[in-house]
Amino acid sequence: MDSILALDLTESTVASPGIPAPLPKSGIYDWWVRLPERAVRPAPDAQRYAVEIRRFTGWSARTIADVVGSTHPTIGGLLEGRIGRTNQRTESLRSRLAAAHEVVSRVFVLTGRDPDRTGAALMVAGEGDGGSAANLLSRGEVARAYLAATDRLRQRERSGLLTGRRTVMAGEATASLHDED
Amino acid sequence: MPSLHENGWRQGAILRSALPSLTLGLDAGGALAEASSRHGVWVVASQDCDLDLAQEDSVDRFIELRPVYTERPPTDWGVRSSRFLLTDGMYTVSDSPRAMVTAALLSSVGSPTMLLPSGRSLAFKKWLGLRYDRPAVPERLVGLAKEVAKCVASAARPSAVAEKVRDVLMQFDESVDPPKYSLFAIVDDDDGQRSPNLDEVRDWLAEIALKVPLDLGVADELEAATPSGVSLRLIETSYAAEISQITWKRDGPEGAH
Repeated sequence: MDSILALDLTESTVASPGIPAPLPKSGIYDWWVRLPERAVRPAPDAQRYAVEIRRFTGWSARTIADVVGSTHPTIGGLLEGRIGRTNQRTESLRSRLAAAHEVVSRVFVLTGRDPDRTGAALMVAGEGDGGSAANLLSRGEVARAYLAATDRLRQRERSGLLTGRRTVMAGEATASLHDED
Repeated sequence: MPSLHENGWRQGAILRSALPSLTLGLDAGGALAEASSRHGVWVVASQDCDLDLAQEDSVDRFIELRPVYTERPPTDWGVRSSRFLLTDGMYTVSDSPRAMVTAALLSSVGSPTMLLPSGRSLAFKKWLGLRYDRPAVPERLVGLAKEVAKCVASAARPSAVAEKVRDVLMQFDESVDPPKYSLFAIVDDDDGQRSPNLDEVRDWLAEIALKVPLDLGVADELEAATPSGVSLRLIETSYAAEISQITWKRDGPEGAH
């Protein structure tokens, strides 16, 4: 096999000055270059959630494990594509990863897709006694975790009347939100 | 066929045209008596979504005009008074006669004599009583706003928290993709007799925001307040989410609808 490899590489990539390189010989190394066709198998949800949470936050497997109430080896295995047998426990983990993913993916968008800011917004505690979003996620308080992260991002300081921060252009509300009965 | 809206007509548009307004009463003998008077300057009171629905040649009489007056104008802008100052020197009156006209008639006038500045137009909507018979949003926000409204409605039943919410308002920031939005819940406090737990209402809003698909938009501000904690600015610059379903309590609908 080695000699065929050497021959093929030489003939296809190297030519002496002034001597045109020979045309590739079809079929000589097809058998080892061409990869077998693979059916693309969608990654299981749990793995995708874990991988994306890591990508969106830069968190380690250990941190992700803390946030979703799992163990470092379990999350490490998921991140590396070692999917365990599906059972009640993995279904529970999938559900917790899904919930964390709902929050993390939104915070990632709100930070302009910045993993550092996303991780910080989720890790640093804001006002109130609920703790950080990550802490709330670890307690299964998903909605409250999202609230904590958004409060943290806009540095919420609630006082006085609610005014809203956005404007509306008069004359543009032309589409009914609901059909008339 | 373009709509009145496409032709430049807006709620608050002012036009010059000698049109009659009709009032009805009884004469001394008890018979029906008509009184007609002509007026030369009018303001369009119909909301923008109706103007968008009205094709320019429509003969349905559903465009509402109100007379515009100039004699002895009020000195204040008139948020809640019977007279509303549209713009310098021009005002309208809450109990004035009005005319219901067709889109075709409005089209025959040509184009509006003037449009109110955005701020006065919003104030005019407020003065008219936020009379949305159905919430309306800009066309490009329909997908997101409908989804938010749907999630608000489904989160409302059964929910002890939702029972306390009388309105949910929305604001949008379309400068980013996906759009960002804010949700504001106005929470019933029995005319100041109760101090509702606003934090649990904010949690309820966060649950709703997590149900709205991320590709449509992402919530970045979730707030709750009692009516006394809400500014007029918020009311004027927000769109209404679905409210009829969440405000329908045991004794009937409450809040804006």
